[in-house]
Amino acid sequence: MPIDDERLNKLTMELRRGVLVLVALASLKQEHYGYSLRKKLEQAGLDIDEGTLYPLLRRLEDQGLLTSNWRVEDGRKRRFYQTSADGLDALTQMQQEWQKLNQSTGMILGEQQ
Amino acid sequence: MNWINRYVNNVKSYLPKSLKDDVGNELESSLQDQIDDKAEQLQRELNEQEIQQILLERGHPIVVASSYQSAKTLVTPELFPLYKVVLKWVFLLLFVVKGTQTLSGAFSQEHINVFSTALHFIGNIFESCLYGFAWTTLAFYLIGNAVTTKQVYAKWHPSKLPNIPAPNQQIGLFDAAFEMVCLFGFIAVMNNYFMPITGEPAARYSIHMSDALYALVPWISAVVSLSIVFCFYKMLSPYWTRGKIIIDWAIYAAQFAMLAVMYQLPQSLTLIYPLHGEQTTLQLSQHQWQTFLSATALVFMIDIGFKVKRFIELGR
Repeated sequence: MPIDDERLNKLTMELRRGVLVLVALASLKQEHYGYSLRKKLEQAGLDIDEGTLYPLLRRLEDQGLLTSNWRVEDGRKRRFYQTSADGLDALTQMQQEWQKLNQSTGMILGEQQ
Repeated sequence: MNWINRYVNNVKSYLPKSLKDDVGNELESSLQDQIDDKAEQLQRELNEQEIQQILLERGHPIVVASSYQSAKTLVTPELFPLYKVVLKWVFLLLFVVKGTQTLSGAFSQEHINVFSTALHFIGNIFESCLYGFAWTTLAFYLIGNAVTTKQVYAKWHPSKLPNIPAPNQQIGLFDAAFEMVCLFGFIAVMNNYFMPITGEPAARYSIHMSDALYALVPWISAVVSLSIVFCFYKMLSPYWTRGKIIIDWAIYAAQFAMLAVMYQLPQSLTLIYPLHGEQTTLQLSQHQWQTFLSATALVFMIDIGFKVKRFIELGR
């Protein structure tokens, strides 16, 4: 049965969601507000919809992996996020895990070809 | 920015108080950024349709609000499989109780109206099932909040896994439930425990027993109660084992003993029922009484025969 676009899109989103925590923690070593982070990821080729990104930032903050503060910039109230010390620790460990995963996935996908 | 305000306000209405302002402000700021960005690309102000298109892409306000809240369920996913099993049991139990009540109630009426009885049963079972559903869900909601299911499930060990019965050794849940309704009905009849279901003056149908038979009622009730308990056990563990068949035979032995004692009793039973507006009495002769008991014994023997076959099969 050929896979339709909607199902493929869901599977792709699921795959991206898995790495989003890693990407967010890495990107937020530098302070960003939600929209600027989204633009940054988009420029890097990772298009994440707001409905996924904003709630994720809040969850990471609740878990103590991000810190945030409200500031007025360009006459607009914005919430700025940054990776916390715990977040940096988690990032280091997740990066190692990512390398292993990437290597294993690469080997398995290589075997298929 | 009227559309943005309306959108943000609508999202806020679906958020808990603690999140309303925080999420609302962030959402508003993000939407304004997006609009500014687009305006910069087009080098002009966006019109209403374009703003509405951005809001449409952001999603329905309820969906946006739900993404900020953890998915809460009345029954936690870990408990849900157990919840479904318990719910099935609650419905089955209600079927047994209401079925027994309806049967005994129907016989307490002067004229048995099958249609009205069936209708009453359906209404009754529907109402009871709604209550059963609500109470079971509430109980699981409270358990889900009070108990860490992961800790409970961590105590599980593979040695606790139940056996897999062969297809022909399985006991049908509905069969066991139906048997239970019949047994409850029988015990209700023996003890003259009729429950009128429509509140009409009762008991034009009645059974009169001789003193000798009446003295046996507690013993008969005890044996039938044993069968009910065993029936319940069969529902809990719905497959035949040699042990279960032996218990079944032991109960049959007690039933045969009761039948043998009753067989000796002369003219024990009188049925009273309405016929053409008058109460009619049917007193069973000694021969009719003994024929009735012999027929009952025959039915028991046939079932025992099937159980012998099953007992041998289980030994292979």
